[in-house]
Amino acid sequence: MIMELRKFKVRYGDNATWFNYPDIELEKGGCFVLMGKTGCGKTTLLNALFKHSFSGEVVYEKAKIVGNDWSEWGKNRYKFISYMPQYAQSGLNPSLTIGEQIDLVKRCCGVRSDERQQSYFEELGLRKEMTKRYPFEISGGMKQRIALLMGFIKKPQLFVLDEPSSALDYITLRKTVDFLKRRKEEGCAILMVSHHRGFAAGIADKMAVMREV
Amino acid sequence: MDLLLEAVGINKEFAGNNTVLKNVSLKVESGSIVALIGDSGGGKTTLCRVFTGLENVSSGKVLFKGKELGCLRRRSFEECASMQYIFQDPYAALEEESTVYSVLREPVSLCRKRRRDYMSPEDALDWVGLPVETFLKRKIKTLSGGQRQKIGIARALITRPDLIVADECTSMLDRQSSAEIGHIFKQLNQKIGLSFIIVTHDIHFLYRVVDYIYVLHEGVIVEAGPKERILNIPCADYTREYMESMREIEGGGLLEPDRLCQS
Repeated sequence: MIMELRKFKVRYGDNATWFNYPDIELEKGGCFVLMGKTGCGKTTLLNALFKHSFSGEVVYEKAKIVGNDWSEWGKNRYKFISYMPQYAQSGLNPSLTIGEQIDLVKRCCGVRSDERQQSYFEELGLRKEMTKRYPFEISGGMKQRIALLMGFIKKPQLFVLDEPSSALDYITLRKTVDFLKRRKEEGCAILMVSHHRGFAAGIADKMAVMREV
Repeated sequence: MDLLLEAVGINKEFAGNNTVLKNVSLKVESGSIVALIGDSGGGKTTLCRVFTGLENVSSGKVLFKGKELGCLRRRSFEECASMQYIFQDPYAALEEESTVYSVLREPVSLCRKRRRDYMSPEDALDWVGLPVETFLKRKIKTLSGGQRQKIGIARALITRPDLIVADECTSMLDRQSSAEIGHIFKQLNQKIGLSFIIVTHDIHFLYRVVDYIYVLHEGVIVEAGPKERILNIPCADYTREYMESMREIEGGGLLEPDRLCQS
């Protein structure tokens, strides 16, 4: 089991309302999608679980991630987990070319070969020439796919995705669904937040729809 | 119907031989809602930026109400006020610490200074369906994405524009907020004859909101026509693939009950 969450709830500040989350069980190669309206607390769950510094309060019965209790994981968790936050496209470094940024990620994760990068480029419908461009020279949808590719380069055991479908046209969405399915087949577990039901349904094994607080 | 905006043979080349728009021509009639669809990187955003003057053209021209428009610096206040832009990211487009009132107040004072007729912040909020008493004094940082985008629309309405250019303004919102914004656009179009150019990947917008669709692929307009024709009988190969992908993705929106959990 890659991730198991039971009776997990989160709140910001003393008087704020608690966000209660559905129980999540995520096996190797599985995909769980959390849906719901803006403001219902979807991103808050991902922040509580995976953000470097989270200021809210967390209560749970069980929160096991890649074999350890959630609270025991330090920064070590990023060895096994990739997290693509919402608006990831604005997170690219404006002063480095796309190729330089991908190389930086590869170096940090100890990935030497170019093979995986090349096949990801093809699968996501990205052109090789793009590596020479700076983020401001490419479209939002392209940046979104580059951020996705960077997250998978280290072959994480768990990939957490927050709204990966925004800014993608339908043809690219279909390619992205196929791309994520292939990563699942390779054994990567995916936890995803999305408001795009059609996109999410293409990848999910389980979905939960959250109500507004 | 009168012609509101016309693009004639627009070419746009960025540094490094990167041609983004190739001989693009299109027309927007007064009172119509035109959609731009196409692949990411295909030039949709660049074209919107050309219309609003944020980007210069390499060649070609943009005519607005029959008059050629230059880049933003060369446009008159009237020209700028008549065409408003709604940005994709509602979180980046508005100042977090400002109140709704101060965001809406800014275009009001500009209009007053230039003696242009304007819409009051209260009326603008009314159009986008946000109650004045609850929202006028709230800070932007306390609003959800959908509410912020509605404030962005209200801000665009203040100058009483003739045309609104909206670049993927619902791609970061949930389906319900997105449908609400589609409804607001339709109301503004039907009741005050406001025209729109909308870049969208949203099936709801394509079926329910727009009248006419231009399909942009790798910087070229590959097909254009009334929405019924483009959605049902696409001719260009790219449009056919787009519509097939759209049906496949959206058709998957129905899930078997055993895959759906309760929260």
